[in-house]
Amino acid sequence: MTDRHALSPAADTLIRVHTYAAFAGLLLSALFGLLVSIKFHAPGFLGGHGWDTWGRLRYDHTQGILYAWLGNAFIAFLYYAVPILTGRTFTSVRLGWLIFWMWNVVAVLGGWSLVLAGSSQPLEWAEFPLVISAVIEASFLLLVLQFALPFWKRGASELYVAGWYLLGSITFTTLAYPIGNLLPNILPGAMGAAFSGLWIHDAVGIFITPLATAIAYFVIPAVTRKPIYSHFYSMIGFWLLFLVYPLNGIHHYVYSALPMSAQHASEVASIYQGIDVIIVVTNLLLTIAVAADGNVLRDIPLRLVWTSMVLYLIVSIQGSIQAVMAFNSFTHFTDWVIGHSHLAMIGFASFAAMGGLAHIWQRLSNVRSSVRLLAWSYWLLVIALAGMVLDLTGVGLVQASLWQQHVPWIESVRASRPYWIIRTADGCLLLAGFIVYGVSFFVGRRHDAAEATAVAAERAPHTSDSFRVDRWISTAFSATFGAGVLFFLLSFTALAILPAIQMHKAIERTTPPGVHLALTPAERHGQQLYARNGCAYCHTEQVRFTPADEWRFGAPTQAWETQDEFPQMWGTRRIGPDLARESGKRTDDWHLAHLYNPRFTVPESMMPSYRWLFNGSADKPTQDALDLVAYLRNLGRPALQASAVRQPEPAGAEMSDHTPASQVSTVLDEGKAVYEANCSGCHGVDGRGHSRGGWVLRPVAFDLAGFRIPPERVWRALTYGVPGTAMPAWNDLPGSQFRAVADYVLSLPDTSPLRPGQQWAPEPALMIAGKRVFDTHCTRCHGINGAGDGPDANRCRRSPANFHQIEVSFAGVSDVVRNGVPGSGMPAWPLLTPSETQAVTLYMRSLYQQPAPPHAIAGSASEPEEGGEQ
Amino acid sequence: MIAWIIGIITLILLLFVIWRKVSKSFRDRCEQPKYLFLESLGVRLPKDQRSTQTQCPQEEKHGSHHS
Repeated sequence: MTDRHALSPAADTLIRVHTYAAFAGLLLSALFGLLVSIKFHAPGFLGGHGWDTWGRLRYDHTQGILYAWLGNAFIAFLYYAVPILTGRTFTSVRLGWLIFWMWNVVAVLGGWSLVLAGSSQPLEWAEFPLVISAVIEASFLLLVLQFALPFWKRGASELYVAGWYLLGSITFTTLAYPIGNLLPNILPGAMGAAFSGLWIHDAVGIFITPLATAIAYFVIPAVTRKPIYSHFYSMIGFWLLFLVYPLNGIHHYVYSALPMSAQHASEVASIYQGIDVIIVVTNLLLTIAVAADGNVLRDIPLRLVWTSMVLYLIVSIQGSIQAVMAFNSFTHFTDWVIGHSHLAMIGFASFAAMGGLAHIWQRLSNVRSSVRLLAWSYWLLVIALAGMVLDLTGVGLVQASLWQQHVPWIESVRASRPYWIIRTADGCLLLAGFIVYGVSFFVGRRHDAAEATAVAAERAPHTSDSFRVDRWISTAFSATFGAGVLFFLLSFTALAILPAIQMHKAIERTTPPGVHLALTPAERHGQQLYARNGCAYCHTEQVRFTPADEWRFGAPTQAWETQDEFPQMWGTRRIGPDLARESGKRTDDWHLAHLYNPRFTVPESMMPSYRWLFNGSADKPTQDALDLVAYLRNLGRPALQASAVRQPEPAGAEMSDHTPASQVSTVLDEGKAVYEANCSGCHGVDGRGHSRGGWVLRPVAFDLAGFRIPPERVWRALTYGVPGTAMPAWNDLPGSQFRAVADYVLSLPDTSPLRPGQQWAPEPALMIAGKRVFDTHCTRCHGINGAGDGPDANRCRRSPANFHQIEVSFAGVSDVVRNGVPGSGMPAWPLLTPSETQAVTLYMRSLYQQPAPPHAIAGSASEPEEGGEQ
Repeated sequence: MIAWIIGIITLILLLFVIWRKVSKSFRDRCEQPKYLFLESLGVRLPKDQRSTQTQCPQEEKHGSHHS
C-alpha cells in the first residue's frame, strides 16, 4: 500500500457510491449482453414483447457498458486521482451529488428505460434518445466544472501525464459528444454518417482510452514505487492520441458513399494511431520491466492494469489493420469486428477500470477486499475473454469467407451458429468473473481507518522546490493543449464538415430528376419503428463499393439516395442481409409473415419474432407492422426509379443447357437439402404450400407437389422470382445448388394417373362429365380451351393457369377445389362433389401438352409465373 | 487538408523531440512531473537517485546500463 490516503469524507463517499453504481452497471450491462448473445442461437428466448426484443437489449448493453459501468468507474477514479494530481480538491461536493444523480438516475436508468420502451436512436454508441443525450452532455459539462477547475488553478507546469489524460478526456468528450449524438439527426443520410463515424471512434478514443490510460499511468508507478520510464514520451503519446485519434472515425464507413479522400485519410490516421499506441504501451511496460519485482507483479490491480495495456497494444494494432481498405473489404460487418470491440471494451477499458477501482478501494478506510477473489476474477475474465475473442475472430473469418462466395446468405448464419453458442458460454464465464470481482469488494479483510494517512487533497500544491520552472516551457505545454483543441475541431472540419459540403454538392448534381425521395407518413413511422427496434444493427442499409456487395445486393448506395434519412441507418454489422435494395424483392405479405415469425419463411433464420406488432396471427397485422413493411418496401425505391440498380447476372442464366438429373439420387439429396433450408418455410416440407408461412401469403405459396410446371418456368422463377407473389429470386444460389433444387422441385409433383379402382366411373364418362364441369365453372377465367385466356382472365389478380402447360394432380386439384387459392382470385368450389372434382381433373389433365391456341401461347409466354392461380 | 493536419502534428511533435535532444534543461524538466507525482504518493526517492535520474532520463540510463 503505497499511496494510502485518508480521503476527505465527501470524496470517500462519492468514490464509494460511484463504485457501487459501476458494479450494478457492469452486472446489468453484461446481463443485457448475455441475453443478446443467447438470442443469436435461440431467437425465441424471452421473445414476444417489444421491451425484450434483440435490438433494444443490444442498445442497452452497449450504452450500459459505456455509461453505467465505465462512466461510473472512471468518475470514481477521478475523485481519487484529481486531488493527488493537482494538489487541490474537486470543485464542490454538492456538484458531485448532482452529477451522481444525473448520471445514474436520469441518464443511465432513464436511458435504459426509454430504450426498452421503444425510444432510442439507431446510432452506434449514441443509442440513448436525444433527451438523455442532453442530460449526458450536461453531465459532461458538470464534470469539466468539477474536475477541470483544479487543473486550471494548479496550472500546466509539471503536470503529470495522468492529469493531462484526465483533463483531455473530459474536455474533448464534452466537445465531441453533441457532434456525434445531435448532428446525425439534423444532417441527412451520408452527411450525418460522416459525423456518426467520428463519434463511434471518439466514444472509445476520446472518452474511454484516455481515462483507461490515465489509470495505467497512475497505478503502475503507485504500485511499483518507481517513476515511469519516460515522461517525455508519455506526453508524445498523449498528444498523438488527441491529435490523431479524431481523424480515425471515417474508417467505420470505408467503401461507402463518403468522399474517398476522407476514407483514405482515416486509413492513414488509423495506422498512425497504431504507432502512437506502440509508444505508449512500450513506455508503460518498460516501467514495469525496470521495476520488476515478484511481489509487485503479484499485485492484482496492477496485474489487471498491465494486462489491459498489453491488450490495448494488440487491439490497437488490430484496429489499424482493420482500417486498411483491402482488409476492411473482407472483414467489415462480420463478427471479427465484434471480437475487436469486445477486446477493446473488456480487455483494455474494463480491465484498466477494474484495476483502477481495486487499487483505490484497497486504499479506502473501513472497507473489505479479498485479494483471493480478485485473483479468481482476473483468471476467469482472462480465460473467458480469450475464448470469446478467438471465437468471434474465427466466426468473423468464416462469415467473411462465405460472403465472398456465391452462396445464399443463410449459409453464413448456419455456419455461425456453433460459434454463437460458444460465445454465449464465454459470456456466462465473463458474467461470473464480473460477479466474483464485485464480491471481492465486500468480503475479506477490513481496512481500518488507521491505515489511511494523509489526505491528498489537503496537501499543498506542488511548488517545484528543487527546480524553477521556466514559464515558457509550461506555456508550451498549455499552448499545445490549446492546439490540441484546435486540431480536434479541425478534424471535424476535415472529416465531417468538408465531406458533408462535398456530398451536398454531389447530391445536388447526381440526384436523378423525377425520383420520389420523400417518405409518406406511414413510411416515416415505419422508419422510426425500424430505428427503435435495432433493425439497423443486423441489417445494414448500405451496399458498399465492393465486388462481393455489388454481386449480392446490387448497385452501391449513392449519397443522393440517403437525403431523406434522419438519422442515417447505414449500420455497422450484418447479421442478416443488407436491405438497401429491398424494394420490389418481396411482397408485403412475405414481410408480414417474416416479421410475425421469421422461421415461417426462412426456416433457419435467427431473426427475432415481432409478434407484438400483430393481433395474434400473421394475417392480423397492427398498423405498426403495416407501416414497418411500408418502410421496407421503400428501401431502394428511388434507385429503382432511377434505374440505377444493376441486376446481378442470374445464376440461372447458365442453366439453358440443363439436363434433368432427377435420376441421380445424389443430386436430389442435395436439392432436398437446399429446398428444406430455403424453400420449405413457404412451400412446406412436402411442397404442398400449406406451411404456416406459406398459407399467410397472398397468393398462398404454390403447391409444388400438386402441379407439374415445365422446367423452364422453374428456372425462371428461381432466377427472377415471381412478380406479384412472395417468391423471391434465388440467383445467389451456387450453380450446383441451383440445379439441384430445380431438379428436386421438378421431382415433387405426383401426377400419376388414377388406378382403376379409384375411379368413380369409366374414363370416357368421367371425361364427358369433367368437360361439362369445366365449361360450367372454369371457362370464364381459364378459357374454353383451358389456356388461361377466358373473358374474365384480366380481372383476376393472377393470370389463370394454362392447363396446356401445367399438369395437374388429383390431390392438387382436390385441394384447390376445397380451399381455393387465397389471394389469387381462384375461389373454393365447395359444392363440387368428389366425383365431379375427379372428372374435371381428368379433363384438365387431358389438355396438358396439347397444342394451345396461338393467342394463348403468346399470352402465356410473357408470364414469368410458376403456374398461374392453379 | 488531412495531409496538412497530419503533417503539422508530426512536425510539432518532432520539434519537441529535437528540442529535448539538444536541450538538457528541457530534458530534465520533461521528466520532472513523474518524480513530483511519486512524491505526492508519499514516495520520496533518495536525493542522489533523483538527482541522477533528473540529470539523465531514466530511459537513457537504462539504455546505457545495458550497453
